[in-house]
Amino acid sequence: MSGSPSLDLDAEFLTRRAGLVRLALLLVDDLPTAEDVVQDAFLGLHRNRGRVRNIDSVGAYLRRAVVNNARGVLRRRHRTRRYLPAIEVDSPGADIDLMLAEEHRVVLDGVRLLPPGQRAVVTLRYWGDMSDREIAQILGTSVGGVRSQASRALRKVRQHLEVQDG
Amino acid sequence: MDDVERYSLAEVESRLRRAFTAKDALVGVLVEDAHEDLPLTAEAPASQQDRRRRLLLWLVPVAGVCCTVALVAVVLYVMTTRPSPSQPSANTNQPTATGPGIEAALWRLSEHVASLSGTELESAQAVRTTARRAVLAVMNATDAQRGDEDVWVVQATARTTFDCGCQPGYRGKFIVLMVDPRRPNESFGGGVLHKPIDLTTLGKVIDLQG
Repeated sequence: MSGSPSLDLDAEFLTRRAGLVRLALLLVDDLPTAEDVVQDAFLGLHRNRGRVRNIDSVGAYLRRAVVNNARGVLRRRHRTRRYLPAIEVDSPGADIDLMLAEEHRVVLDGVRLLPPGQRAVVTLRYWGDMSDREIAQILGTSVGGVRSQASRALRKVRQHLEVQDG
Repeated sequence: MDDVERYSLAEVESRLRRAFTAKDALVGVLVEDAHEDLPLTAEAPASQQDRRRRLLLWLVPVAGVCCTVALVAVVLYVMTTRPSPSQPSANTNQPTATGPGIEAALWRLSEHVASLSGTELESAQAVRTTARRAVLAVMNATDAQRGDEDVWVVQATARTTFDCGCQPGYRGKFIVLMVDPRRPNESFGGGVLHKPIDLTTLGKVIDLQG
């Protein structure tokens, strides 16, 4: 840890892992993939620990890595679904699905249909209670871009709800 | 269009928040149930490596100093307890070393005393006994301060006469030396005699040879 002597990777892992897995799970829907996504994020931090100059930025770095990794997973799923439409690789786990109330399940189904970028924006905004500026930093885009993606996502979810609720 | 847009965006946002909260509660249970103590990698975290490195930086010189001190202590102990080649090891209350080594040393001591007394050694005998018995026999005393320590009593015979030169008339054919077994190269007492003493009263007599 030559660049950041006070960065304790063990402590970071223990304190941040659960929250990051929850975020990843909301983005990719299944726990094993979510854990892989988070693990990859920590591996990235481990590899680049020498470049970490500000310990306070570790949380943001990990969130950004998790979101980007999750978006990569979702993009790969979309491509897979394009060629193998019969396989629903992003279907949620049956246990979660069954335990969710119908009204929530419909909403999350709508989220699941969003493109990866919009899904990330919606998740970070309505699950993570993050500001558009924070989301823009995590996604590496502008605040305007975040608002635009959020607006499009909300309209798509609303459209989905209108269809589902009849 | 009004039929399609039954929900306002604020209402959609509210439902999204509630749905995420509901799912997060379930997700939280799943995540909390998952193993929390998985090591990130098989490799020790760099912070631990740093701590180990710092610890080693302390331990290596400390261990070096300790080893050096221990080595010096052992060497000093060996040097102080090891008998010199000319001195047989012995404890005052333990049987003293015997054999050619001690006998040769006693012979050399007798030769040395003879040469200092202006003569040559004709023969010498030695017997191992206690200090008390030696003093009583050699000094013809009735009491002795020294006790049960082992001593050698050497009786040497001169070719001519022992003459120490310290006092007029202090000469004789025989000389008796009391020797501490730990220091067989010197005598801590004795005397010049005209007549030999009977060493057999003190123990087994050994004829010394050069």
